[in-house]
Order: sequence, then structure tokens, then C-alpha cells
Amino acid sequence: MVNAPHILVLDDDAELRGLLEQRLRSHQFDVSLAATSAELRTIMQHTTIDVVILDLMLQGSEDGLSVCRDIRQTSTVPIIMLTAMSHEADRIIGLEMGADDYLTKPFSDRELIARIKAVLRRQGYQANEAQSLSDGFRFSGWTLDIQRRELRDPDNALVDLTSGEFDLLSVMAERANRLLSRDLLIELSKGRDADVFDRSIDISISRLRQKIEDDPKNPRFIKTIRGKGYIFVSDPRD
Amino acid sequence: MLATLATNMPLHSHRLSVTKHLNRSNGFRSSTRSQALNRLSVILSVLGATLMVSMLALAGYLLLFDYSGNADERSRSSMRTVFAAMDNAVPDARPELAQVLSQTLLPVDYQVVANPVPDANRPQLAAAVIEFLTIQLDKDTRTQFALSDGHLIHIGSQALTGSTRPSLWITLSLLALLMLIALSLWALTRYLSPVQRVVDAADQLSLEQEMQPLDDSVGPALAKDAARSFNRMQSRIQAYLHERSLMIHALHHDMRHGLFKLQMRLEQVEDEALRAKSSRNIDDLLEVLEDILAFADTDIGPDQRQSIRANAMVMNAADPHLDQGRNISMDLTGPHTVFANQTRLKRICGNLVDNAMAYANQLWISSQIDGDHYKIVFDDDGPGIPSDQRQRMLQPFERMDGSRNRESGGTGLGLAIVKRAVERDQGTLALDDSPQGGLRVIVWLPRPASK
Repeated sequence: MVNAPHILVLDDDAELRGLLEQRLRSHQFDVSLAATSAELRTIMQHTTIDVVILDLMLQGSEDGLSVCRDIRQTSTVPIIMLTAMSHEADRIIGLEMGADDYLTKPFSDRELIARIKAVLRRQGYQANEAQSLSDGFRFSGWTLDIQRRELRDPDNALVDLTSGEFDLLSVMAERANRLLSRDLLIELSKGRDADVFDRSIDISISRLRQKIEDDPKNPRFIKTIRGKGYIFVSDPRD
Repeated sequence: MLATLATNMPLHSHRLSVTKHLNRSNGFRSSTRSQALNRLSVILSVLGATLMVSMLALAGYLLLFDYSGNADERSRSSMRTVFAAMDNAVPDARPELAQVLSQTLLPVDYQVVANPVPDANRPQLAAAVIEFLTIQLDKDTRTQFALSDGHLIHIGSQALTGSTRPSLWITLSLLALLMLIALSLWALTRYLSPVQRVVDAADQLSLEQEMQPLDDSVGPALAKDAARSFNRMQSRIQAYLHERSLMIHALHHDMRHGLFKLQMRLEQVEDEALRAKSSRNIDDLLEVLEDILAFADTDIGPDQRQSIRANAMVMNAADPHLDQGRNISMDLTGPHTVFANQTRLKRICGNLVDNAMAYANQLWISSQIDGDHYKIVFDDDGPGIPSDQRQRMLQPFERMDGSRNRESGGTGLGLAIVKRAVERDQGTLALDDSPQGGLRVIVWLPRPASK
């Protein structure tokens, strides 16, 4: 990237806006601040924005969700939603309204920067590979819902994955039946979840197998290619 | 900020109240129709019951009293009695006796003969005549008998009204009265059943379940009034719960927001030790906040339960500890599913694993199907909880050492949160001694109804 990515922050708390700006600038991002959705629209009309950071709870008649939906009608800019709620329902509604990611307050600098980089990278890959992320994948009756970030088994039962596991599985499902090296998998799936940095990809694969394979020792979906990496086997006829 | 929340919150609550209104109006429309049907069926059943009562009373009367064979036998024995009484009486007493007998048994006349001819065989003769007469007993004829001393009597064969057979009308009214009493008892029970409904609803009123308004358009006025005041009471409780829930969420939100700013500012502090200590304080406060929110369990959104694979949930709770090199062995049978709320199930598994890891070195988790429930057992090698303290430990804000000091770890809400969450998902929680030496926690959660 030639220019520093430009981040637009919409938050009604002036103090928090200031703090966020300071942190983001210290990580070499360009930052614009908006206190209302009107300000946000004005800025977006005149400037190219790379990532929008949006607080779910705003003053007055508008809330983060409807602002998010409004942005989505005209733009595909990545949106990261900030919420003070740790409730599953809020998270899912946020993601369904078109947010790309969410962060629960409080979060650390490291988390924030990692998420911003992750959405930028995803955006970049999408452009490079000229392939838009689909809403989900189906394999042998299983459903991987990218929007709601949910995995369901053939009986439609929810299979709870950590966000690291979810990212890993979607990266693999997206590139089904292709050899994926460890390095590539780390590169593709890191960022969203801080602990993926620390955890070896092999442990994540083994945990995924325990959750989705009938016989984890004799895997049907995630096969190991000794010394090279992994292949996610999915029969398109399934 | 509280005001902000009030404007933002209704996102969920609006939807809830709209559905509730819809339900209510639907209920009302269908109940006016069913009310008309009810009235018709009441009229029909009263008519039917009256008819039935009359028929039964008549049948009863006929069966009991107008059985001709019995009537003949009664007349015969009355005649024998009258004859014997008159025959044995001294002649002077006979006119008076005849009068008494006429009033009580059968009409009888005494006739003095001018030259009576005594004959000791007359009673046998009379008995034979009575036996013969009964075959063609005529109600109006009178039969003449000669007594042993030769005087005559005339006995009518018709039973006296009121003495041997009760009046048709009295019998009918008595029977009808009995039936009416039975009918009214039945009707009263039916009439009072709407009141009983209010009683049942009040008994079953639970904060854990979604409250449905009672249909206040059925039954007598008193029952309608009772249903209406029950509904008013219920909506006051609901309003209170909603207010409490908004308050807890607002508190939670504002505290989190404030702590977040504090934390961000803290990252600029140069002093490493100060930063670490303050950051730990903030984390502790956040933990308390989370626990209180979890215990209040005031999800404003709809309480969605679904099929969830239990083993993946348990693994996710254990993984962070395994990553830190802690010792957890899992023996989870297959990818079995439970029917539960996702957030709550995550909390149940997370709290139980975290709790065990805080007090014990090692944790064993096993699971199996137990009827229509899925049973998960958490065994640890920690100090355990003495059996006489287990009940207390399931109460909120209780700790083993009885202190409210956060230094000893936790808010004292851990097990209370788990118990409440398990029960909200219609499961059961039990504490026991573990064969591993520490505490055993058993959780039963319902399995999905059918595949």
C-alpha cells in the first residue's frame, strides 16, 4: 500500500474519539473523526476511506446499526463495529447489518490494530483474487455461514467454534480441494483473533477435526499432506 | 448516557411488545366467537339436562312403584291383615277398628248379622278366598267375608292413596330435585373453572418464563375481573422487570465505556508496574460486571434455544486452559446435541471449567446420554465442597470462606450463575463428591425433541 490506510471513526463520545485517534495515528494510520452520521456522510463524499469504525450506541435518534445499514447501501468499505455489549444477539445483528467485524469494549490496542489489518487484508485478497467472499459454504450437509459466523452440522445443530477456528475453516472452505501450506494458512487466518499468533496452526487443525470429523484420526474433510500442508476436501456434488 | 440507552434499547423491546399486542387482539377476536358458541352450548345442555331429568324421574317412579305384581301382593297381605284384625277383635270394638283400618290399609265395613253362625274354619276359608281373589283383583269391588263368630265384613281391594304408593308428583319432584342438585353442582364447577384458571395462572407465574396474558373474556363477571386484575398485576411485574433490565444494561454499558476509556488512557502511562496493576484492577471490575449481568440474566432479546453440539462447547471452554499447559482430560461421547441457549451454554461450560481450574490442578470432563437428557460430569481434584455447604454455595454471593473479599477470587456468583443458566434451559445441576477427591458437578441438559 502506497498511502497509509485512512480510518474514519464515528463515535459520539468526544473523549473516546480523541483517544482512538491518538492510538490509530501512533500506528501510522490516517484518521478522520465524525460525531454524527451527517458528518460521516460528508467526509465519505469527499475522502476515500479504507475502514470505518462505528460505535453501536450513539446519541439521539440514530444508532450504529442503522448507520451501518445506510453505509452498506452505497459502499463496500469495511466496517468494524464497537459495542459495549457482549451479547451474542447484538453481535449477530451487527454482522447481519453489514458490519465486517466487531469489537467488544474494552479492547486493547493490539486487538484493534489486528482487526483493522485483518479487514484490510480481506479486502485486498478479494480484489486480488477477483473473487468475492460468498455468504457461506456447504459441504456434505454442513453449513458455514460467513455473515453470522456460524457453523451448523447436517442436523442443523450449532457447532461452536472459536473465532480463530472459524477463520481457519472459512479460509480452507473458500479454497477447497487445493493444497494449502501452513504458511499460507497462518497468513490468511491470523489477525482477527489475537491468539492465532501464538497457537500453532496444527493445534487449531486438530481441534477443528475434533469438532467436525466423525473420526478425527481418519479425517474426511481436512486431510494432511505430509510435509506440505493441508487440503480441505469438499465434493461439489454434495 | 442513560437517556441514550433508553432510545437505543427499544430495538428489541419494541418488537416484543408488538407481538404481544397482536396476540392479545387475536385472542380477543377468537374469544368473542367462542363466547357465542359457549352460550349456545350452555342453553342446549340445560334443555337436554331438563329433558333427561324428567325422563329419569318418570322412569324411576314407574320402576319403583307401579309394578303390578307387587301391588297385588301388597293388597293381598293388607286384606289378610284386615281380616285377621277384625276377626280377632271383640265385636264391640269392630266398628271403630274398621274405621281405623279404612283410613290406614283398605276400606272395610263391619256388618252385624242377626243370627250369627260361628265356624272356626272361616279364617282358612277367607285366606283361600283372598288367594283366589288376587288373580282378578278388581280395584273397585268389595269382597264379603264371614268372621269366625258369623258377623260379616266387606273389604275393598284398592290400596289406599298415600299409604302403599307415594304420589306421582311428590316422587317426581323429589327425583327432579336430586337431579337438579347434581346438575347445579356440575354447572357450578363449570362456572367456576375460569376462576380456577386465574388461580392456576397465579400459581404458575414465573419470572423465568415468558408471561402470557390471560383471556379475560370468558366466564362470569367475577372471573373476568379476576383475569383482568391478574393481567394488570402481570404487566406491572413485566414493566418492573423491563425497567430493572434496562437499568442493569445501562449500568453495564456506561461502566464498560468508562473503564474502556480508562484503559486506553492507561496505555500511555510510562510506568510499566503501575500500568500492569491498574490494568489488573480494571480486568477485575470487568469480571464483576460480567458476572452481575450474567446473574441478572436480563437478555432483552428473545430467548432463543436451539440444537447445539455440546462437545464443541466443552472443548472451547477447556482450550484456553490447555493452551496454558493445564491438565484437562475430556471423554466426550460423540457429537451429541443439547437444546439450549448459545450464550448460556457457553457460560455454563466456561464457568464450570474456569472454576475447577481456579481451585484444582486437574479436571476430568465426561459426558453421556441419560434418557432425554445429556449428562456432563466435571470432576476435579481440588478441595471440594463439604456436603453440608453445597446448598449454600449455589446461592448468589456465597463463598467457601464467607468473605466478600475479591482477593480470594471470583464474585461468589459463579455457581449461582451456572445453576440459574442450567435451570433456564430446563436442565438440572447437582454437586457431589468426586472420585478424584475434589468436587463433582453434574449438569443435565435436555436433548432436542427429535432429529
